[in-house]
Amino acid sequence: MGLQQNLQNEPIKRLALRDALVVTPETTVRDAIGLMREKNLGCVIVVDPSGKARGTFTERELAKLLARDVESSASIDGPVGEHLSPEWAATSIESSIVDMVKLMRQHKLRFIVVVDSDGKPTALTGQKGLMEYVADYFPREVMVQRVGLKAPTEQREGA
Amino acid sequence: MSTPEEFEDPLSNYEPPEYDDPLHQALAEETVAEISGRPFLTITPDTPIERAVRTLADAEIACLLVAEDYELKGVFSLRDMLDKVADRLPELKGRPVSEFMSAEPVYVQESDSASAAISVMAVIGHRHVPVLDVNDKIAGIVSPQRVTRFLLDRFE
Repeated sequence: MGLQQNLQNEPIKRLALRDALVVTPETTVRDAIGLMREKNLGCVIVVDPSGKARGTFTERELAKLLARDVESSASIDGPVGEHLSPEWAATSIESSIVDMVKLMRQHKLRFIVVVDSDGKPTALTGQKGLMEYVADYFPREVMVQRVGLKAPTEQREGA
Repeated sequence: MSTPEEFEDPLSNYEPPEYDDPLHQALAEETVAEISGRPFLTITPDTPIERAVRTLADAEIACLLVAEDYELKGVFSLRDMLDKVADRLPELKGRPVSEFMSAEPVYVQESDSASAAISVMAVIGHRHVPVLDVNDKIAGIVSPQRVTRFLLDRFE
């Protein structure tokens, strides 16, 4: 089946999902930064005492916090719960890829939290996994990038 | 069966057989120029790091192009910020962004296919890919948001 149909029919578990980096609201921003660096991921998920997802803290909130607080490290050493993203969204691992993409666009999000039926985070998905999924349909271009060569530019007459 | 002359789809010739659906074909055939055009911000290499961070925050963008006279020197993204400056910005204050940018970033040309830009994102792992024109001057930036919009336009 083609790409368009598969985006519509395949569930997000077909994407390369990322780890759910879970923190509590009391975790310091500094510790969240350490976790994000270690896992090379731009988003941590904040959970309540029962383990349910309650929000996200992303690189974007980090930029806002740093921009406000250039002179001191006060907010870096404060709790991450005070800097949650204004918008976030969660979905089930069975929902279709295109529905996840719509969710990202609707809320202008880069990351979508994958939760189980209890609302507990199990994974993270988003733009990167989507780009990797789409790139799988273009093995030649991917090979060009892997080998580090540029594809020969097609010459168009009169162009 | 009807005669082929009567019922042949006049558009059938426009579908090259190697693509199994219109989205796949569009990504392969449309150029980066058609999916970029997103407003992009450039800063000079000597911009103080704290101003670069503030620009990312205020403009609500994920990546700045570092350039001199439209010549690309590097990119400074939210990820560079996270990895290199986030835990010690006060002590780095005043130092130039060139010390923290990703130098010599992978780029695409305006004439490359949309799928080439997506492949760069997937393989290199950078979500924002600078676009250069035929004179190697900055023409724009391709982001996953643009690709997402492009994909979703096919479902609406």
